[in-house]
Amino acid sequence: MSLKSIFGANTMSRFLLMRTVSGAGLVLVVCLATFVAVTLLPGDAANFVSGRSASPERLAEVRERLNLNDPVAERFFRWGLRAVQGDLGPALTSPRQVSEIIAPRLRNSLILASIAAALLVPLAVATGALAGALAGGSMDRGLSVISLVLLSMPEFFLGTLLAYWLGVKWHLFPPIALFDAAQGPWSNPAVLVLPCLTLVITNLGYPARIIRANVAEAMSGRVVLTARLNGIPERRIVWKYALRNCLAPGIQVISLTLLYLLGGIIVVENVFQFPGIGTLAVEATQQRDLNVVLGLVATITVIYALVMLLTDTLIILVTPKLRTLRF
Amino acid sequence: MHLRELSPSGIVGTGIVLGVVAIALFGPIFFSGSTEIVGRPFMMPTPGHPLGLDGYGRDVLTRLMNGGLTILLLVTATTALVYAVGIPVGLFTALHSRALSASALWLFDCLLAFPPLLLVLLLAASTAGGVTAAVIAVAASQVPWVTRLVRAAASEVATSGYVDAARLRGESTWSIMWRELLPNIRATMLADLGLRITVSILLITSASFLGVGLRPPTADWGLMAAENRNGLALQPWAVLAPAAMIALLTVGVNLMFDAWPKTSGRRHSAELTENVA
Amino acid sequence: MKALDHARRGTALAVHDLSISLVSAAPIVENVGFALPPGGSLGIVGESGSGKTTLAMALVGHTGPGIRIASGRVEIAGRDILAAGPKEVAALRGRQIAYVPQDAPSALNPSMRAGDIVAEMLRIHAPERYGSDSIAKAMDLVDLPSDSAFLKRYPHQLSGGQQQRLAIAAAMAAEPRVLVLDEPTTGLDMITQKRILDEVGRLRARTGVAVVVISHDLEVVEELCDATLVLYAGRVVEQGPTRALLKVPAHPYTRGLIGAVARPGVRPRGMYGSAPPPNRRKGGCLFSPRCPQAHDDCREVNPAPQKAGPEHWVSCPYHVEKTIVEAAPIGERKRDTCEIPVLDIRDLTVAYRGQRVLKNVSLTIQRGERVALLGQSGSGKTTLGRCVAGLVDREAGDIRLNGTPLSPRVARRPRDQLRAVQMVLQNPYVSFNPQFTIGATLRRTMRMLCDPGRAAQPDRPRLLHLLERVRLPAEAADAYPAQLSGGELQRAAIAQALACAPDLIICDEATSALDVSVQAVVIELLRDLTEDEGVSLLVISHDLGVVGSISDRIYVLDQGLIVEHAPTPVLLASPKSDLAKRLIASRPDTAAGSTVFHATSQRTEKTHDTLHP
Repeated sequence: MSLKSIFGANTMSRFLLMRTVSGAGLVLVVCLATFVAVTLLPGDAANFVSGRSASPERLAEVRERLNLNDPVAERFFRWGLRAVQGDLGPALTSPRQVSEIIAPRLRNSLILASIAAALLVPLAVATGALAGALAGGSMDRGLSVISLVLLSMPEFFLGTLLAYWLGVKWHLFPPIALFDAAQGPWSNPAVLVLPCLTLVITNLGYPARIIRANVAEAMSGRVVLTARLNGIPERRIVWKYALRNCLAPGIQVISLTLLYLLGGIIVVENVFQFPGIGTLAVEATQQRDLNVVLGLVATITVIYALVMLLTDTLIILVTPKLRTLRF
Repeated sequence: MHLRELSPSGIVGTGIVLGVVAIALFGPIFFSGSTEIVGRPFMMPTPGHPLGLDGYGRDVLTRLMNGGLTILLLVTATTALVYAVGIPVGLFTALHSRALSASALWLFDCLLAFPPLLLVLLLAASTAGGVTAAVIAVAASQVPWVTRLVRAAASEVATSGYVDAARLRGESTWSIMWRELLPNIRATMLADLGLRITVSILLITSASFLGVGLRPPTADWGLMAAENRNGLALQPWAVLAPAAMIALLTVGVNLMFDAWPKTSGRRHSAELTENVA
Repeated sequence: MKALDHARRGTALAVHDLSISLVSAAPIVENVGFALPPGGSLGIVGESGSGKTTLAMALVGHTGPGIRIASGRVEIAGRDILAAGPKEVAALRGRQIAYVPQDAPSALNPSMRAGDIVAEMLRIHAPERYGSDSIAKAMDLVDLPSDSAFLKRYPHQLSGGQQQRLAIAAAMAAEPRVLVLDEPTTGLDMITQKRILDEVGRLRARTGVAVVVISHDLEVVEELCDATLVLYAGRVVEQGPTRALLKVPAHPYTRGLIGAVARPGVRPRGMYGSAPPPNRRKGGCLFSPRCPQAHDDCREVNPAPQKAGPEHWVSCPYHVEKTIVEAAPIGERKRDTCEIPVLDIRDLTVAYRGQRVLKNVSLTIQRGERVALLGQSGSGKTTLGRCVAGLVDREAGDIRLNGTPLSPRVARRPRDQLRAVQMVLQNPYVSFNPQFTIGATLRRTMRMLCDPGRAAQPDRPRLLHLLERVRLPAEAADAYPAQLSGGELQRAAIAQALACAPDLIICDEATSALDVSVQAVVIELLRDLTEDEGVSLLVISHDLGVVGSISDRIYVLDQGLIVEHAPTPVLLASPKSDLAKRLIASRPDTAAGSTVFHATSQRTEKTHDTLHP
């Protein structure tokens, strides 16, 4: 998708502008769709706020407070206008603002995801590149099966297994991430170990396999063969002729992995009861606090759009053919 | 395909899948009473109850034997739905890259902005929840990928001379999609099928684990793993056994499909032997 | 071509009795031997499947996966590169022998700048001379600029010809004694091809490097090489001084190859059949099934090399029975042109992505006439063919078939128009859906185009008759496309075009993916069919040889404009447009001062159906 759309552009700045606009369009469409979904589908917010036995007068009052009587378009417009300023409106099931609820949870999740990514990315790149450079060897075949098993591993299975073994049985790390959401995990960093480990192991297989495939393809390609036939030292071939040309697909798969991490975090947080956006999403769903759900969707979509923009920019920077489109 | 063409990991994978599927299909016939309370909650394994009891005092083995069928059904439904939408849209957009196709693809790409489980949660939140919402949401999160894959593979095929030849003899778009394109992207689709099924299993069971989709007291591996989690220290088998079944299934499916011969589907003639060699 | 006299002593490269096989022991190359003096040049000629690329890579000590050296030595600077350890091999490569692969542009590192590509070879193989002067010298050797702006460019910012020359400059940077060029002109347009050939000739004269040229193209070898070696199915059938070998070819295969070359004004003669792949090579002469003068014992006895002249060897015991078949010249054809033309294109304009690829093009074809559209890559010639076929939308203009307007889109055309316009495409390997037998596809075509009701299945005799017309055996009907060779597939594609009495067949580079010997078969077939049945032809090609050997009239297309059109002999004799002049000048046989023999049969700019290791 990203590469193809690049070819239409003339210069990098124009391309980046285009991508920013399309990213903003994406956020808008996703938020609108979510807004309409939570508004129009059966089960009006007022019912949940006021409870099943609420009187019609109470319902009407809640509707009035939440502006539920205004047309959808107008409500979305108002919501969007405030959302741009960081105000996601009031929560339905607590007296606090949605942004106040999301902010500390998002921070906790980002801490968890960043640590996991910091371990995951180098590990995936290293194993993938190594297996690809030595494609066909016994190490490559071993890694292939291992990575396949890892990527098939359900997060809740591995998480539970680790919690039981390392947490309950051996008492090495806390099996449950108990800490105050507002304070953040740094008050007891040990709670991060098991969720991180689960995220790293379950998300390692996919990028490692893709990177391996790309590197193996480059290593058996004509550019590398020609370099070999002309006596370029093998070490230099691996770095400058194979890995260098795998940077772009590598960046693509890393960015995908980061986005998967965002999805995987939902399950992992719930396994360890880690107070992040994943547990928040489940709580908000169970309590049917649609404003919080909407806020979460908006937040995650913005993150998605930013990651994609960054990915495309990096890919252009490392691909001479794209970088020099002006010629 | 013959069994001897499979690699050792492929044979192991196929064996695992056959075993798990057999348990899921035939377990309910031999083990009934999955909701019966037979003893103290979280009782450790005894000879009569080899996997112990769960949080309500129900026999874990009996529930384990009954908990796979739902997953098989839901995963089959999800995968079928994914391909039922992804293949026609992918094929059509490969042939017609006009504005309509472009906007359809852009809308599909919007779905990618959601982490799949958030989509499941969102759909569960805005509807009454339930199994249908979970299936639709999981399918919706996979459709964009399948569409892209089909489109990419079919676009390449669409530049082949035989597609031009088909158009020149007056074949309809419909006939070109199913006769010329689909059979020739089969290999690419099969190579991806294992991953698609795995992802469906992971998402469907994760949804159950998060309390979306199936409702207690249904015996379901994902649900079982979730509802007994607070007894992990007391009776780990109630959690680990169903979770392990799911892990076995996903690992088995991937090992099995990975061992399938991966041909690009395009065969070259003997004339090119020199270059192939 | 004058070899350098001062460097006569010793050999730069010597190959002794080299045999290469698959791991399964099926032979790819058998008993090849030659010696290349310093500054000398050798051409290795062979069609696809001859093992020439495998041989070329063995010269630099490389064997691909699944391939092994069965026996023999390759000596460079007194050392056997096949027996050398990895370190020694690496030291020989680049410094003593350098390799420029087939389709070199796609083998350049896309993330390295032009200057760095050359500098890399200097730094590694000749560090004592590493510096901007040496880089400039290497660039100068192939007439590439050496200013810093050019050196900073990436390969994709260069033209195809520049990329090819850059690859040669890099290979020559460390001043190796031997340069191996694998298909140096393949994939380039004709004018660029000529330029590369000139460039390599000059390079030899200036540096005294010995050159091994691997090619399917006799013209390339004639232009560049003192000696030539002809490979057929992995065996040397003939080797000797280029001039003698081309003037007095001794082996029937060499003769066939020369006769098959498409040249303007001459009828090429094809060789039916194809070379056996490694696993189907038995005893006896491997060419005997295709040989016009084969004796009974040819199939049993392995022919030993015999002397055919000074330093001229041939592997055929019957080589004295020379039956040189001179390619027949084309006679004039008379037709009346007053009737309504089959195809009448007026002011056709086609845009693609906002750019006009065809501008006000007008073209007519009379009944039974063979018209060629000649153009370089990117000229818009393929677009024109696809536009007539209804596969590409037009912006403006009118296309009439027998006087009635043709709908722009193929999907809107009535069955009769679908029947009337047929197409034969460039790449025969993807011309048929691999899922169906050739017979099934042909029947479907007949059912949809010829028969009024779709219920009736065309019967087998009709199918077999159709195959017979393109000289395919009846078994081809039940074969899947993967079981046929490129030439057979292309004949089947012609059968498909012929199935329902078409008025016009458009051939879009229909011979360019084929081997020389097979290309001639297809040209012959197309000529015969138009002569017998009055079908009109629109031949789209970049190849003056093909165009000149098949067409009655030529249109020259340059950047979307028709710059010239004239009857073929007139255009060849006195071209008016700049492009036609340059194209004709790029062929030594049409240009002034032609030498013994000339051939062109380039694979096209777009054909990459070969998988190279």
